[in-house]
Amino acid sequence: MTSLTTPKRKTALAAVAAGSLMLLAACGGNTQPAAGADPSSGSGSSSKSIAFSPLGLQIPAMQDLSKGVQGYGQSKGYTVTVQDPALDPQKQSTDLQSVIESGKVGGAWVIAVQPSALSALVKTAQQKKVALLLNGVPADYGLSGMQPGITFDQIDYQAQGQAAGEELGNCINDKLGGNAQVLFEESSPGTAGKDQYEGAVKKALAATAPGASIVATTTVTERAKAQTDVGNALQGHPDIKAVFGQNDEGALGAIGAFASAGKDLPCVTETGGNDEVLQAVKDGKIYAVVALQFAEDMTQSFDTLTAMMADPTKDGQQLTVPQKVIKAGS
Amino acid sequence: MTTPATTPDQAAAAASQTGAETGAETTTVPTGHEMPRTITALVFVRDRGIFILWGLLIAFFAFWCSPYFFTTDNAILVANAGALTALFAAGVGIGVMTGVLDLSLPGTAAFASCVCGWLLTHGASTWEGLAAGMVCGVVVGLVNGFIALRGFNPIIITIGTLSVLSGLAAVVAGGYTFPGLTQLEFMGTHRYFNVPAPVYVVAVVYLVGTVFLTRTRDGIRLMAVGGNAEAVRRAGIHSSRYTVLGFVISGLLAALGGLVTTAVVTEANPAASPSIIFTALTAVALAGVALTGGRGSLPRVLVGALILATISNGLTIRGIQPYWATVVTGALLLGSLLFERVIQASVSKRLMATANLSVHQKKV
Amino acid sequence: MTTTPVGTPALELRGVDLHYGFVRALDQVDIHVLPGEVVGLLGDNGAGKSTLLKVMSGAHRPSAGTIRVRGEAKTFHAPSDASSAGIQMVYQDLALVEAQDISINLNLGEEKLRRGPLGWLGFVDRKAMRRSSEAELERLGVRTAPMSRPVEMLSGGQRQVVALARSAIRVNGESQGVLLLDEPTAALGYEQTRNVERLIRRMADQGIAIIVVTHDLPLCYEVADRMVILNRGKKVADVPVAGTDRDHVVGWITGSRESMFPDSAAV
Repeated sequence: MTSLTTPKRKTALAAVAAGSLMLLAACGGNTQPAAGADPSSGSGSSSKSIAFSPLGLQIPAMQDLSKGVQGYGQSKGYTVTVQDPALDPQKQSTDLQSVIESGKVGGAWVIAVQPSALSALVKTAQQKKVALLLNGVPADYGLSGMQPGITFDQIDYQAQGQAAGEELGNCINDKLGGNAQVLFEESSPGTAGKDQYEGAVKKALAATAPGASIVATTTVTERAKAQTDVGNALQGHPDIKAVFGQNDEGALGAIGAFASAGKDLPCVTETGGNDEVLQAVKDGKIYAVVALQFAEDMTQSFDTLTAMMADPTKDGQQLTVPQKVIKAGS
Repeated sequence: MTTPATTPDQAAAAASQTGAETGAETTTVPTGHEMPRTITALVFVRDRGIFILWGLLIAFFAFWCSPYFFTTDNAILVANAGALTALFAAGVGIGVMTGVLDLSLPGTAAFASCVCGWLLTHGASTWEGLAAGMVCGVVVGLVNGFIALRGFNPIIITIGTLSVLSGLAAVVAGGYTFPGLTQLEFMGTHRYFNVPAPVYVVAVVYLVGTVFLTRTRDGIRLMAVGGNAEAVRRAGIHSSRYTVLGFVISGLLAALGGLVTTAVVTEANPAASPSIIFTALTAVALAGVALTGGRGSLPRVLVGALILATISNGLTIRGIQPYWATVVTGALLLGSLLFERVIQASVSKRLMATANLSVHQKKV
Repeated sequence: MTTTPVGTPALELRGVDLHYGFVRALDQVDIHVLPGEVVGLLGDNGAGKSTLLKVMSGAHRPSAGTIRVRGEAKTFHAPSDASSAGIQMVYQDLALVEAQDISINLNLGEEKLRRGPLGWLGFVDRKAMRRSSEAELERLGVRTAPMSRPVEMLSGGQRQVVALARSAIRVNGESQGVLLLDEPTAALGYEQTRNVERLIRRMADQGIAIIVVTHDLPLCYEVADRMVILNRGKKVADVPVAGTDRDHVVGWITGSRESMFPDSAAV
């Protein structure tokens, strides 16, 4: 029974911990369209076939992405096989190995649960001349520099953080006269890109609105707890008027907490962008959301992958996931 | 049949033997109705210690975090923050007290809230959605209970149902969540006389629960089954019914907890959060509820949950990292275990010295 | 020790056999007990005392033989059948609910409900339960801790008495029930044993038929009217306590003395 429960329990745990954070921070930029490789100079026999392995399908955005990739792939004449690693790095590696080694696919688009677990897979793919699209940068996989047949797609955490922090500063300048007490919602330690991202937020905030000061910090894990924690922090600092929400859960939790306390919250920014958040932006509850552009990134990644499948000996590229700032009226 | 009398009691016994043969009355014996003061005091501390602990914590934070801590607003906030934990703690607590360790709580909560969320987003009325959610809890309890009756280990069973339920919840939610459930706000963030709804829910649950467990026949039997199922069986009672009842109550409270959580954040999420069990168990353990079952009091569980919320609240106000809250809670838990052991040993020792018993012969 | 009981036996077993495969746990055992009589059931380890008790309490079905309760033939499919027939057994582990108080334990299974609507909801009348428990114990001549004291706070002797009293109360529902006691004084000290002895006699005086399984010969001599001795599943002796030599009894128990019933084969 334990073998049955371990992956599932990990799923549940990971879904909570990683769901919101990893999803937005890590997978946000890693929407890599499964490139339908051109059959002409494919490396493998079924070179119009692509495997897509994204983190775990229990994450709604990954589900969305899978459907999008399959649809796009079909329109380009490629079959996309979607695998579900269920947030288990071993499973991801094993499932991919089986289709790559057997030559069943000509290309694979991978959003890695744990990049370091895939270094062996990368070698196998290169040997079999199967093109790869991987999230992150070469160093994550124990490689240095660009490789033949592999393109990397990274999230620019720095750029994300900068945009989020800048917008928060803008809001403070516009609505609060440049001075405000700020609540900073952090992510859990070990979240991908945490230091880059949060560092960039703070720097940009300080640069845009020097009169703003961060007076309280909480850690975001899930929405209900975020709501409670923000409520508690508000008790200790009743004059907080601006919140850096970190992600969708954190931002929505903060809004709920302030509403419950009967207080105004004019300024909230974060990175993410699910439906509820987008609605909140329209309603004016959230000032700005830095949204990673999945659809755009998908086409860019997919097309790059198919091009690579056509010629797997050429060195790959480093892509970046496009981001967009969404504000009311945009 | 005479034996040399060495103690006053034995002398009385010897006298009563001969007395019986000649038809005389017995001599007086101590009635054992008086408990020595020290024992009463020790038992008081053991049973009420947690209230004292809470009082001390409040006093401490009142000074350390002034002026923000010791206000009505903050008290209400703490009560609200502890409400969710309190609901799950009630489920776990009643389960443990009745001999049932139900680990499927988070799964039941997620499943019930997703079923409710699905119904609400498909046009059902609020009451229909809530009723359906509660029914889910009862059904899960029945399933757990009946499997347990077949003799399987309840811990393994409930871990199994937890997995099943998390999966089912995700199926119901189609991989997404159900946001925008504002029709549940009346039991979420809405305030009545400035007190948020969840506090009222908790108050009702604990009141009903305490009365049920201590004053009704089924409640008393439920606790008895938790303490010694064999004894209950030998009294001619179907103890298996009560085991199932324990699971049903646990499932029902889990569902209620899930529904209130959903109401507070207006979103139904299929991700079953195992941390719920952890905090609930901590509150229950702090309350001194023995994991072997049969003993414990709901009011103490409530205070356990409130202690956790108080610590978290006080430390957050002071800007201390949340990890310290976990450290403090863990330390308190260990401390209270030690404390209880010391008191228990002390009470036993003193009891042995005072055991009073007599059986006397009547005139024939 | 008081009146000589006569009449129909409250419980009678005839020709009871119990086989486990080739092992004969009980071999043609006859035993009876009259209302108000105390019978001591003696024998060494493995002699079959506990097995015989199990048959009497309905926990084991005999391979052969008859059971009669107050003259009526009965078959017990489960212990609940035996309890409905008025036979109560007090096990060595006492089966008390430790966290609850004395009155709850005494009333378990027959809790008194409050009158009126509260009663319909299942509310118990604790005061009434305590009063009736006290009265029952008073009738049995027992004075011990208050009814509201949790059983876990009682000493071994007090607990034994509570367990015995509980069975006596249950049995008194039937007229002239049967009590089966399994080693009631095994874990008790001298003084507490005397108290239990007195309680047993008291219950017998009220007309209850009692069978006491024990290793304790002095206990038998104190409380029992008759002794039945088993050896290797067979009954080897059935003698009145008064006037029987202790050495003979020991001889029957160890097997050095010949069975009183030579047809039941050698020892």
